[in-house]
Amino acid sequence: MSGWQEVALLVLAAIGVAAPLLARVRRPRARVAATTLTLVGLALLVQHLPRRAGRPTAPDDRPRVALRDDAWTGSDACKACHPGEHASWHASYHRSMTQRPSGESVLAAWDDVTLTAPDGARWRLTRDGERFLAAVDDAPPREVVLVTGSHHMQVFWVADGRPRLLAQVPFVWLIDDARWVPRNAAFVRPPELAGAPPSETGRWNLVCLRCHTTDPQPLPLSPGLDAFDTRVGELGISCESCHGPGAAHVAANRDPARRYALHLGGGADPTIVNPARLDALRSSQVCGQCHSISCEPSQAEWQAWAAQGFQFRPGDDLAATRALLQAPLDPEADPLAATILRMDPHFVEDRFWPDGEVRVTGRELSALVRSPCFQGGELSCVTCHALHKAPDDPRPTRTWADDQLKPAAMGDAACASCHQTTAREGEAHTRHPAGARVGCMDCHMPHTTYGLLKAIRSHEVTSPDVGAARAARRPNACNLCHLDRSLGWAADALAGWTGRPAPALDDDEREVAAGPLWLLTGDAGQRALVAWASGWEKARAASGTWWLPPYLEHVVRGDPYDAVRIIAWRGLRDLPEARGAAIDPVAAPAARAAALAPVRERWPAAATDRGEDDGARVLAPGGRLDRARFQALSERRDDRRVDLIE
Amino acid sequence: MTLVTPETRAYARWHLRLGWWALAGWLVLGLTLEGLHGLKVGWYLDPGAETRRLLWTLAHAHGALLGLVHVAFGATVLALPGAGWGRLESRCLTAGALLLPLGFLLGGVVIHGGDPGLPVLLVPPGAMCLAVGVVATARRVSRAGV
Repeated sequence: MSGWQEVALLVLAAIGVAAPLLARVRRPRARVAATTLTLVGLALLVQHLPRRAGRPTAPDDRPRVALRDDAWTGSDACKACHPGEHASWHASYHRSMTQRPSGESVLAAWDDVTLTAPDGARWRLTRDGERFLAAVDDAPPREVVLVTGSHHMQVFWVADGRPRLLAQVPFVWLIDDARWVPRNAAFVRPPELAGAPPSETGRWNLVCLRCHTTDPQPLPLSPGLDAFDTRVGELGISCESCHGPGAAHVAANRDPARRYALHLGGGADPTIVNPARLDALRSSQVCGQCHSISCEPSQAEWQAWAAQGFQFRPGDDLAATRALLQAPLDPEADPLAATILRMDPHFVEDRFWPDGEVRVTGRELSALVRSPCFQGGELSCVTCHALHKAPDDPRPTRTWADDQLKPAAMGDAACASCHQTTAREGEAHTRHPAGARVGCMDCHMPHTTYGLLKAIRSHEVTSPDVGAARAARRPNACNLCHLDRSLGWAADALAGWTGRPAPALDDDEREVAAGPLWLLTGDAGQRALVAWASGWEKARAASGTWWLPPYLEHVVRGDPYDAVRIIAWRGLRDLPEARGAAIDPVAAPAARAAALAPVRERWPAAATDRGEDDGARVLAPGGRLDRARFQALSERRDDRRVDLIE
Repeated sequence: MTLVTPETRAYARWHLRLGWWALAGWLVLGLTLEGLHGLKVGWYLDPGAETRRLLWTLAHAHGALLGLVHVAFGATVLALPGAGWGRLESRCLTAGALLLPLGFLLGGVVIHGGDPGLPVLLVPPGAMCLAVGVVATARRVSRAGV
C-alpha cells in the first residue's frame, strides 16, 4: 500500500468516526470546535505515521532491485520449503553484503559525526530517522542509498546525482574497532595514495555489484560510464546466486506428490542446482564466480556482461564464460594477458606472490585449483565450508557465520578424511608435541593471504618450505607461529625432518628472529601479515608476547602504510605496555609518537625484569634492545610499492 | 420430557470420557511443548524445525479443542436424549478427534524442510470425519425441536 493510500484510508476512517459525533452536536460553535479538533488530530496522526525503512527520497538515484525475468523468484520464495536453510542464509554475511541503509544495517556512528578526509574535505554525517545523510564541506547533504559490508568493515554509497551512479563516502567504518578510518587506510595501498581523494564514483555500478548482489546488470547508458540504469535481482548474495534461477523449481514443487517422491526417494531435483551434489570442480566454480581472480575473456564479452549480466549459471563450467587467471601472465602468448597488463601493469604483483600463489583474500578458487588435494583428489569448497549451518552444529549461528566452516573443518578431521595414514602417524608427522594445538592447516594452509586488515589462510594447500617461501618473499608457515625464531632455525628443523638441504640464508635470516626481521625489513605485504600474526593466539602461544612491544611500537609509529599501522596497533593495544594509551594509528606522525611514549617507557623495564638473553630477538644481554642493530635493520625496510587488490 | 435411557447414558458417557481424557492428554502435550521452549531444545526450536513446531502446536490445539467438542457432545446427548442419536455422528466425531491431532503430531516427528512427514495424511480424512460429525450433530439438534 502506498503512503497516499494509507493517508486516504486514515482520512476515511477519521470521517467515519467523526461524522456520528458531529451529528450529535447541535450548537454551531461546538460543531466548529469539534471539527477543528478532528482535523488537528488527523494532522497529528498523519505526522506520526511510521516511516518505512529505506523509503527513497529520490528513487531514480539508486540501483533498481527487481528480478530479471520470470525465471528468477527471489529468496522469499525459498523460505516456506527450506526454513532452516533460509534462516542460516539470512544470518550469514553473504546476505548482508549489500543492504539498504537502516537503523539495523548501518553499524557506523552516524549521529552528527564530522570527519576530515586526507584531502582536507570535511564530511558531516547526520541522521534523520532512518535516513543517513552525508555532506561534504558546505554542499547540501546527500542521502546514503546503499551499505556494503557487514562483517569486518562497512562502506557507504550516496547518489552522485547522475542517473543511478553511486559515489562512495571516503571513510570506512571498522566494525570490530568501532571507528572510522579514511577509505584508503583500510587497504594496503601505496602511501602516496593516502592523501588523494579516492575516486570510487561508479565503482559500485561496475565492480562491487558483481559480487555483492544477486544477478547484477550494470546497464551503462553512456560510453563514458557516467550514467546507468543499474539493476540487481537482490541486494547481497542470495539463494539464486548459488542455486541458479529458482522459478521453475518453485513451480514444479507446488505439487506435493512430487515433493514427497523427492523426499522419500532421496534423489536430486533436476529443477534446481545443489552445489553439494556437483563434482568438485563445478561445485567450487559456483563459489568461484566471486572467489577467483577472473575477468571476461574479451572486451566484447565485458560489454555483453555490462548490458545483460552474467551468462554463468551454477552448474555451468565457469571457464566457458570467464577467464580464470593464474600468474604469471604471458603477454606474448596470450592477447588477454597483454590487454590486462596494458591496462594495469601491476595486475599480477597486486594479486599474486612472485611464485604464483594468491596473496589477496576473496580469490580462493584461484588458490584451491593449484593444490594437489584439488587436482588429484575431491577437495572442493564444500569439503570444509557449510553455506547453511547444519542442524547438528552446536555452535552459535554467529560463530558459524564467521567463516561458514563445517565443525569438522575447525580441526583436523577434514584433512584426515582423506589423509588417514598421515593422521595416524600423529607426532611422527607433525613434529610437534600432541598438546601443542598445532593443526594440519597451520602448516599446510598458513596465513599468507591478506585482506580486510587481517591475514587469512592460504587456500593453496602446500607443505612448509622455508626456501620456496623466501624466494617468493612470503612468510613461511613455521615462522608465522614461531615469530621468535629465525628463518635459519625453521630451515634447519625442516631439513632435519625431510632430509632436504636447508636453503642458503644470509646472516640476518640466521641470527634474527623472523617476526622482528619481517616487521623491520619486510615489504608492506609481509609487514601486514606478520603484524597480524603478532596478535594471533597461536603465534602468541608459541612465541610469547613480551618481546613484541618495541617492534609493534616501531610499526605503529613510523610505517608508511596506514593499513599496516592499523594491524600492528591491533596487536599492540592489548599488551600491558600499551594499556591505557590512546593510540590512533591513522593520526599524524607527531601525535602517534606522543601517544606511543608510554609503550617505549614501559617496555625496557618489563623486558629487563625477565632477564632474557636472546640475540635472535634483537635483544642484547640483560633484555635491552640492541638499538644499533634495530636501527640498521629498520633502515633496510623494503619500501617497494605494494597495492593489494582485495 | 424424554427420559435418559441406559443406552443413551452409555452413549454420552463414552464421549464424555473420551473428551476429558483427550483434554488431559493433549494438555500434557501442551506442557511438554512449553518445556521444550523452556529448555530451548534445538530439535523443536531451531529455524529448520519450524514445520515441527507448527505441527505440534496444531496437534495440541486441535486435540484439546476436540476433547472439549466431545465433552460438549456428551452434554448435548444428555440434554436432548430424544434426538435419536446414531452411530454416524458418534463415530465421525471420534474419528476426527483421533485422526486430526494424531496426524499433526506424528507428521511433525519426521519433517522434510517445510513439508511434514507422511502421517500428516491422517489429517484430511480426520477433518472430513469431523465435518460430517458436526453437521450430523447439528441436524440432530435441529430436528430435536429444542
